[in-house]
Amino acid sequence: MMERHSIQERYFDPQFDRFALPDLDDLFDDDHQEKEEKEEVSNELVPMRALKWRKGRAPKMQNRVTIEKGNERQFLSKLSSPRTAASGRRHTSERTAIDRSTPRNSAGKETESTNDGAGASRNAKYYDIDDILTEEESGNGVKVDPSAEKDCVEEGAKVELPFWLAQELYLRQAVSISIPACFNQKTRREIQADAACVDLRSRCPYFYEFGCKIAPLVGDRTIGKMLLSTFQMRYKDILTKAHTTAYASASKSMAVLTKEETSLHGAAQSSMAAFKKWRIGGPRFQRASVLGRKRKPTE
Amino acid sequence: MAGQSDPHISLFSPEEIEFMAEDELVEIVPNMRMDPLNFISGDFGPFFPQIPANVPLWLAMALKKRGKCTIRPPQWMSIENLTHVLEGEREDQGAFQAVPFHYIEISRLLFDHARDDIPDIYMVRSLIEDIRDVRLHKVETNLEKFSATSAVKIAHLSAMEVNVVRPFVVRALQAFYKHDNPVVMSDSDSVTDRQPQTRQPQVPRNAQRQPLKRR
Repeated sequence: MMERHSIQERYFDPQFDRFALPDLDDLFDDDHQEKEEKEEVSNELVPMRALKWRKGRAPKMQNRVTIEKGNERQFLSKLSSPRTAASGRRHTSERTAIDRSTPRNSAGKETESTNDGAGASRNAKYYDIDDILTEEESGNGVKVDPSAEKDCVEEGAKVELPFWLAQELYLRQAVSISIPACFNQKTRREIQADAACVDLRSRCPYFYEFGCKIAPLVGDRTIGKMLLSTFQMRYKDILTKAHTTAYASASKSMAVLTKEETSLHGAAQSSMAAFKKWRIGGPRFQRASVLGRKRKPTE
Repeated sequence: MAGQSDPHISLFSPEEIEFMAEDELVEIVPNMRMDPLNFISGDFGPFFPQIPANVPLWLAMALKKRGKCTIRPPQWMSIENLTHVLEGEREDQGAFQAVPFHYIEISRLLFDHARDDIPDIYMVRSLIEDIRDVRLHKVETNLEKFSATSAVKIAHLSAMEVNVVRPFVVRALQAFYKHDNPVVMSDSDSVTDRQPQTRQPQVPRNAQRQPLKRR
């Protein structure tokens, strides 16, 4: 029974197949030990939880979830999002290192082919590295629903979980999510004062993406408007310098940008640099890199 | 989307824009006789000495490099015209003057290869660079103005200028659209639910609503 499940997961590509949430309940299940010994295991000693998603993966993302239970602490260590496992599997089959351009390009291509309504909007970004990293944000405090029963965590306890886990648990109505720290009143007041100078990167490098994802779950209507106005103000003040500033001042102002704003800035910089380089002219042909290296004299 | 990590998304490089600009017709004065040339893009008729002919720019460049013709600068590259355009650019801060679509690339190619064919080349060169600087600056100031829109329309922008701002503007517009659109935000919640979205967060239909397994 477990074999079938694992085979199903191996050939399951969430980009094309019907999206089925992986069974998180197996996470909390302890009856897998004899099955795991039969399959190939990685060299590390892993705890019994979350073994399913760790077979033969490329760089694993290590995550620690701390759950307080009275005075004791119990670690659910080495939880990794199923998407990192899936993208790791995909990448080990194609190339050795996770290449940043790959998930986006293939996700972009597959968006065109699976362009069917609302289902594609989630699948298309499944392998997107930035999307995965956004969901790794553990900024939220999670409260446990009193109606749930779970051994390790007491009801009503406050836990910090990464977003992907919190979302799944929320859908199963086990937890309720409170507003993360990066959207609290202190940040909002700072943004209202002067949006351009707020250091969003130290709070949350995926500010906008995270806000978009968490807004429906937390049930806070004002997040959307705040995001929009923040982006408007910062955009005007900071990003229009992107085309023209010298390198020194650019690096100072870039320290406060989130990942998305940095990508905007980088795009403008690179296109401007390419234009300037073209304008100068010069030889059109580039010397092949293999020719440039001097041959070492062989003994 | 705005969350893309690779900033080097630019559809065209400046060299490619220049390549496309080379299709423009220019007037040359050949100094030899040649039979008609039959190309895929068209036939360029027999060349007689001292009789002007219209050819694409790439052919003009090739002939010029072999010393078989001289190039006549296009009409818009006269000093009076350029001065007029420059003053128009400086006056009107909101709109752009009508310039040839590929003026930057054509002028650069001509300066590089046909230096002796252009009268007052230094003047012309400085005028064109001024025009280019003023227009780029105008584009940047106009970029600051738009906010919370999904589409921007700017008239009379030339090919190279469009290419320089393209990645930035595309991503910025995507980001504005994403944050401004309430449908987009509630869309990311439900996976398989294709009915019109309601505002409350929904549990997707295929999510198991079983309680967590007892241990």
